[in-house]
Amino acid sequence: MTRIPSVVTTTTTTTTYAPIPLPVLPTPSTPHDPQKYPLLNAQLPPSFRHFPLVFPNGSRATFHDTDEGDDLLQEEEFIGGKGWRLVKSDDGAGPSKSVGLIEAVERFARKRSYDNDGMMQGIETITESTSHTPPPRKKAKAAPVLPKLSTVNGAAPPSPLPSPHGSPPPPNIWPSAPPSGASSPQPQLPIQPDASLATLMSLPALVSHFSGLPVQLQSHLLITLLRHSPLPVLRTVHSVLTPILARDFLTLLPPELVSHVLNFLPFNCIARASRVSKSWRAIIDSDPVLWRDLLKSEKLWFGGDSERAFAEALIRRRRRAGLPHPNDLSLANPYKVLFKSRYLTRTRWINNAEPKHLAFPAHGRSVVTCLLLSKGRIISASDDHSIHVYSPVTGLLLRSLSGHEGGVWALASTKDTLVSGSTDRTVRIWDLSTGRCTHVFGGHTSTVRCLAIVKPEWVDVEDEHGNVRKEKWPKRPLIVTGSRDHSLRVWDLPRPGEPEYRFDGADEADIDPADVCCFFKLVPEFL
Amino acid sequence: MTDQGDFFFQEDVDENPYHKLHLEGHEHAVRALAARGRTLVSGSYDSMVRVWDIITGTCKWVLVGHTQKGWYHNKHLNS
Repeated sequence: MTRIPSVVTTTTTTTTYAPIPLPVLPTPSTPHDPQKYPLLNAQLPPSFRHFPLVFPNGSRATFHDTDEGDDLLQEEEFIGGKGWRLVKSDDGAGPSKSVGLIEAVERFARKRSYDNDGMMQGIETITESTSHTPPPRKKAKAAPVLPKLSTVNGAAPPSPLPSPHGSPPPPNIWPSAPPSGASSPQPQLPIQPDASLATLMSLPALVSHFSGLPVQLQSHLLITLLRHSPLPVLRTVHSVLTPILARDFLTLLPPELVSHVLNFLPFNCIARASRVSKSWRAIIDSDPVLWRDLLKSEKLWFGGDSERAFAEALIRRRRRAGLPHPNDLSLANPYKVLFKSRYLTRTRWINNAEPKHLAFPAHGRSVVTCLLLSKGRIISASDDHSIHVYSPVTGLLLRSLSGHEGGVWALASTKDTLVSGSTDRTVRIWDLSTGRCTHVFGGHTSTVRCLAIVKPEWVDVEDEHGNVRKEKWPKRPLIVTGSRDHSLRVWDLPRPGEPEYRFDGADEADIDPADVCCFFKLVPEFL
Repeated sequence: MTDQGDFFFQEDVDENPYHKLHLEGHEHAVRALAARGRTLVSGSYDSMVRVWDIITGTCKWVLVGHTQKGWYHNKHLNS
C-alpha cells in the first residue's frame, strides 16, 4: 500500500500531459496468423462469452461477447433451454439488458470512482483524475480487440471508448482529461515518445481498475488480451501460471482415495509414477492393497501361505535390523518387495529374449561332487581335493581353495563362510572373501559325507503342559556333520573374526586308504 | 587302526572349543541330514532315520521301515 501513493503522483503527472493532443497510436496489425496467436481462434466455454452482470447501482444486464457475432447466436439456439432459462431469470429479476465488454467495464469504472470518494484516500486522486482513463489504457494495450467487440453493442452509452471504426480519432484517447474535456481537440502533434510513456504511466490505474471488476469480467478481459498475445507471451504466461496452479493430488488427497486412484493404473504406469518424486515413490511403495492387487492381476500371487509368510519374514528381519515400523512410509511394503522379486524372476527367466548359455571346464577329469550357487558365486567341490569358486557371469575361476587331503564330498555356505567335508575326515571352514581356510575340525573317524548349517529361527516349542510357545533355536549358528563313521557331530559355526582353529593332525596327511577305495567303489552308485 | 584313530580324534575334540556334540546310534554310514530349529533328522545306510535334539544331543525318534538304503531328505521339516 505504501508504494501506491508514489505511483499516484506519477499518474497525476500523466494527466497533466493529457491536454497535449497525442498522435494517433499506431494500430497494431490485427493478428491473423494462428501460428503466432494460438488462442486467437480458440473455442472458449460459453460462460466466457455470456454471463449475467449486476452493476454497482443494482441494475442487471446480460453480458454478451459480441466478438463471436453470428456464431454466438447460433450457439445460444444450440444450447437450448438451459441458456434461455439463465437469461429469463435475469429478466424476471429486474430490468435487464444486453451489454458489451466496453460498456460493462466502463460502468464498473464509474462505480469505483464513487466508492473511492469516501473510502480510499490514497487512490482517490487516481480515480478522480483518471476516472475514465482505464478504457483508453485497455485500448492502448489491446487496440485490435475493441473495435471487434463493440460492433454489435447496440445499447452502448456515450462511451469514451473508441468507436467501432477501428482507428479512433484522437479526442477519444483522452476523453476524461479535465481541461480539454469534450472540447475541440487540438491538431495532432508528432510526440511519439509521450504516447508510449502515457501508456506505461497509466498502468497502475489500469491495474486498480481491473481489480475492481467482477471475476467474470476480469476473466473475459484477460482472455481477450491473451487471444491477441503472440506465442512467446503465452509461453511466458504459461510458464508462470502452470507451476503455481499445479496441485499434487497424490499428496493432497486422503490416503484411501489415493489408493483407490492408483488401483486403476496398470503396473507399468505405477512403475513410472513411482519415479515422479520421492513422495509419490513413498506413497506407492507403501500401499499394501495396491501391491496385493498387482500381484494378483499380474498372476504373481501363488496363494497358499507363501505371500503372508514372506511378509512376516521380511517384517521380522527389519525389526531385527532395527528398521522403522512396517507402517513407516519410508519402507516399501513387503508385498511390493515380493512383487519386485517375482516380477524380475519372471522377466529374467521366462521373458528373457536373449538367454545366455555359459559352459566352462572345471576340475579336469575329476568328479564334481557338490555345487553351490550363492552370493554371486558358483562353488564346486571335487574328488580332486579342491574347491573352486567361479564367476557365474564370466565362468572365470575366481578362487581355488586347497587344503583338504582327500576328495571333498559335502559343502554348505552362509554369507562369506563356506564349510566343507572331505574323505580326509576333516571339516574345514573357509573365508570366501579371502580364500583362507580359517578352521579345521577333526573328530570324525571316516569320510564326512554330509553337513548342514543350522541358523537360529523361531520355532514352536511345546512344554510338559502342552502349551506351545515360540522359541529361538539354536542360540547361535551350528554345523551338523554326518560321517561314514556312523555318527553325527554338532559344532558351533565360527563367526567371522573368531579365533582360528586347527586340530593337531590337520597338516599331516592321514587318509584312510580304505576310505578312498571305498568311495571310488561307491561313486557309480552316487551318480 | 580304527581304535588308534578314535583315540587321536577324541583327544582333539576335547580341545576344540567349537565342538558341541557327538551323536551316536546309527549302525552304518550317515548319508544325509537336515536340520531346523533344534531338530535334526539323519538318514543312514542302516535303513533307519533318526530324529535328534541338537541342543541336548538325545535321539528322540528312530524311524524304521525302509528296507533299502536311501539318502534323500526334504529340507522342509515341520518342526
